[in-house]
Order: sequence, then C-alpha cells, then structure tokens
Amino acid sequence: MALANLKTLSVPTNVLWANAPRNPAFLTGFILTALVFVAGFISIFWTPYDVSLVTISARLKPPSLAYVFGTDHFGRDILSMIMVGARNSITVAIVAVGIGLIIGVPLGCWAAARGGWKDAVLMRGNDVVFAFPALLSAVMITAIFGPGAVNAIIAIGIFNIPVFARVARAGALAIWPRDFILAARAAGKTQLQITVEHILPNIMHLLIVQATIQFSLGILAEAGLSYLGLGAQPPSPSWGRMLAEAQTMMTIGPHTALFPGLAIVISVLGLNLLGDGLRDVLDPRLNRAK
Amino acid sequence: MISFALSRFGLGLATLFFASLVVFAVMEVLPGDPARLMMGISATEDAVQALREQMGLNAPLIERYLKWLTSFATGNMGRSYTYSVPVSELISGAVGVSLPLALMALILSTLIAIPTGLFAASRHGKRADSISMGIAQIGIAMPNFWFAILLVYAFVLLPFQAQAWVSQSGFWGSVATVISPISSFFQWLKLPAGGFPGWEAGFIPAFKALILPAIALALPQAAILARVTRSALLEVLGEDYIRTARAKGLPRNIVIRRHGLRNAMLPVLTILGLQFSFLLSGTIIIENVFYLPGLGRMVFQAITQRDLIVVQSVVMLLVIAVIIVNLIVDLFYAIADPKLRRPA
Repeated sequence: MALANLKTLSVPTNVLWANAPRNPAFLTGFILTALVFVAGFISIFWTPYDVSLVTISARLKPPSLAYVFGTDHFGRDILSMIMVGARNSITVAIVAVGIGLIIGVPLGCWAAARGGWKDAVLMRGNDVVFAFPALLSAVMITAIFGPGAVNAIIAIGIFNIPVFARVARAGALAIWPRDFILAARAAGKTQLQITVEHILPNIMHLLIVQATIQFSLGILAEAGLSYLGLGAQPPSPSWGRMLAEAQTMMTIGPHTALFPGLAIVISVLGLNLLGDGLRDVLDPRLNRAK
Repeated sequence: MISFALSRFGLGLATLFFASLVVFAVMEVLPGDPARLMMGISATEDAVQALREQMGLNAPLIERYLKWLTSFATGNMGRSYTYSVPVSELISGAVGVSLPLALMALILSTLIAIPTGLFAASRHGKRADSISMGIAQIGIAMPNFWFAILLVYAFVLLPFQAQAWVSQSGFWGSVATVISPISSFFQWLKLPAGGFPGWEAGFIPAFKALILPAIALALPQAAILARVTRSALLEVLGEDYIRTARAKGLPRNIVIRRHGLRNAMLPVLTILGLQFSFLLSGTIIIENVFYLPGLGRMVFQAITQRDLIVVQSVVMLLVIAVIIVNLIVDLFYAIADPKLRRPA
C-alpha cells in the first residue's frame, strides 16, 4: 500500500515530460549520460577488440580506422578499454549512490521526524564525517581492506550517507509543519506512515537531483582512486588507471592520455547537466524565480 | 556574539574529539603489525615482541589513546616507523610544500572565479553568460589529475616537440611555426614537470615547481566558485534595495559592485570554507601527479607502508585544519550577518 503510493506520487512524471524537451541542460545531459550508459551496456556483449588482448606489434598506434582511439603501450584497443571502463565507473558510482540513499535517507527522515537530541546526535555525527577530507578517508578505507572495485564502492558509498541524510532531513523538516501533515496526524497516522506516504514523495525531487550529483562525484572519486592504484585492479580496465599509465607515455603517445580523460569529462558533465536540468524541470517554482 | 562564538567553538571541539576517536579506531583495525613490518619477515617472534613492547604497542587501548592524544597536543608525535625520524620533523617539511601549494591554489581560484562570476551575472541570459558557465561546467567535470597531465604536456613536453616540427612542411609544420613564440616562451619558463627542489634551493625554483600543481588544483575550485558567485549575485540583484539603488540613478556597474557583490560574498565565503576540505583531498592526488613531497603524498605513502604514527598525525592535523577553517568561516559569517549571531 505504502509502496504503491510512493510510486504514484514520487516523481511528477507529467511535469517532467512536459518541461524536459524545452530544457537544453536536461537534453544535453541526458544525451551525454545515455552515450556513456549505452557504451558501458554494449561492452557487456561486444567490444571492438578483446581488452586483455596484448598485441605488441600494434603498441601506441595513433587513432586510425582499425583502432578508432588508438592503442596503448601494450597494443590494447583504447576504445574497447574505455567501453569496459564505463561499465566499471557506472557500477561503482551506482552502488555507492545506492548505499548513500538506502542508509542516509532513512536516517535523515528519522532525525527530522524525531527531532530533539536524536536529531542533534545525528547531525553532529555528520559534522565529524564532513571534517575528514573525503578522498583521504577513501584512501584509508581502501588501505584497510585492500585495493579493488568493491572496496572503492564502500569507500565512496560511506561518504554519500551523510550527504543524503542531510538533504533528506532538510527537505523533511520543511514538509513537517505543513497543513496536510497536520491533517494526517489528526487522522491518527504514525510518524512512519506519514514519512513513507507524505514526506518521501514530497522530497523525492531533492533526492533525485542529489543522486545525480553524487553519481557524478562518484565517477570522479573512482577515477581518482584508480589513478592512485586503489580502484579496480588489472587486467580490468578503469579510466583512472589508464590515465596513470598514459602519464608515462606522454611524449610518444599523447593520445593515450586524451580519450580516457574525455570519457570522464563527458560522463561527469552529462550527469551534472542532467542534475541541473532535473532541478529546473522538477521544481517549477525555481524556474519562475529565475 | 560571544555566546555564538563560544557555542561554535564548543561544537568544533566536540567534532575534534569524535574525529580523534575515529582516527585512533581506524588505525587500530588497520591490518599489518608495524613492529613486524619494521623488523622484516625473517625476524624472530621474540624480537618482534620486544619491539612491540618498546614501541608501546602492547599497552591497553585507552592508555595508548590518551598517550597519543597528549603527545600529539604537545607536538611530540613520536618517531616514524619507516624513516626513524621524529614525525613532527617529517610533517613540518611536508607542510612547507602543501601549505604554499594550497594557498596558491586558493588565491588563484578566487582571482579567476569572482571576476568570472561577476561577468556572467552582469550579462545574465546573454551569450557571454552561457559561454562562461559552460566553461565552468567543463572545469567541474574535469578530474584535476587529468588536467595536470595535460598542463605538463602543454607547458613542458609540447614546446620541445613543437620546436622539432617547425622545420617540417605541411599542416603540423605551419602550426608549429605559428605557435613557436609561445613554445619558446614556455621553454624559457622552464617549468618542471614534477619534483620539488626544496625551499633551500632558492625561492624562484621552488615557486616554479608549484606553479603547474597550483593551476591544476585551482581549476575545479575556480569553476565551482564562479558558479556560486554568479548565482549568489543573481539572487541579490533581485532584491528590493537593488531596485532602489537603480531607481535613485546609480549606474548598473556601481550597483553590482557596491550593493550586489558585497552581499553576495556571504554564500561565496561559505563555499570557500567548504572547499578547503576538497582542496586538501586534491593535494593527495596532485602531489602524487607531480611527485611533490607534501602532506598528501606523505600520508598516501605512509598508508601503503603502514607507518601508522605518521598516518594518525597527518590525518589528525588535516582534520584540525578543516575544523579551524570552518570555525573561522562561521565566525566571519556571524560578523557579516547580524541575523546569525543568536544561536539557533
């Protein structure tokens, strides 16, 4: 019952489809993001070359018809590596955002509903997490559990928790004093029921926008971690490590550093534009204020 | 005002206390025995135990925590397991690299961002606005280590390659001829692609070694800050007192500068404070890209070498820096905005 409500109320789909085509940021962002997702999806079934195929005779080839983005210092096809890298980046970022949503949102809603010392404790806990430079903590976490994609996900995900808790709490606090909440309380609904049936649907647009932003930050963080050698381990390709390897090849093969970087920029740019666009489209009040 | 300052200070101290617990706890669960690591794999169990005793690793948890806390507070942070020199010595050397680097990046990003934000806001809705904000979007999306690699290519490697192309005919030959004044200027600059000569090698060489890292570090910060400056200004420019100032005949530019920018500085200041933490995160990667012996590279190496005492001290120091900067921003905010002086 509660879930059904959530579904019908969560995203104002009609608003989305009415305004989206007219919003250039949303459109550009959607196209760029779709490009990266499609590339990552196709790589599950097909890549131009096998990413683990080492062809020494074809090493550091500049872009050509045979190798669209050229080859790296092992003669591996850069386009294929970028496609598999997209899958890796997207997986890490999605799961990390999921961790933040699943733990952070209930925490934030709970703090807003209860208030008092429980709220204060949670917010102080948030402050403590925010006092640690995020990447530093991610480096520490991957050092504890060892480098690898799964641990990179955990490291990035942990820092999404306070972000979503904060957004959910701020959004919920603004909804609680409203009249329809008072009506629901008068009707005898519990705090949990009100949160699930009325608060969540009304803060959903905030959460969606924040999720897109955290998604893009997750891709950047994953790239940074794998650049330092703490992300997905060889032979599984990742954009960050491709750049780390390219750095030593700059004089003889500058193209090796160009395309993985562009891939990161396109995904992050796409998601940020999508987030900006969604914010405008989902919140008509903001549109008018501009 | 004083009660607000005190309550903020108290909150900062509480955050610091819990952060120190977290740092200590994390170090406790970090696998790898530092004593075993120092002695090597061929050491006998007795020798390792003796060293553990000597390093105080066998004492009870609370005792070790308190000992660490007091020694940290008095500046006596112990000796590095791997280098066998006082940690405070290592840190002060690294701070001499990281602090100037962070300051240069901070100044650079502010110098780029505020005029850009001002420019975009004053041309709101026009093409110049969209172009500068489009560039800012790309700046945010660019990983700073990739930007750093491109900078090294453009400033250090390319000028030498371009010199060789000048003699060639065809497209690249003519491109090289056109850009040859720029490439000879970059060659003359002789910016190093990495490494740090140390301040004792003279101010100029050390400063030059930090220029490219500072630019790489500043770019994403500048992009974010420019966006914040623009939106804060736009919000302020919609206020009634701006219309009043315009109505009394003040020129648009003066209104933006005198009434707009001053009021828009509050959110900009907040973001500047929040960015400090991002800046510190950035130094970990950027110092690794340029092989700079700063705090970021030091803590990264210390983590991989299990040099716990160095990790603890550096992380604690960085956390203190973040808390202090946020405290200063809070107080600044209270001075600038009287509404906030009453504790919430």
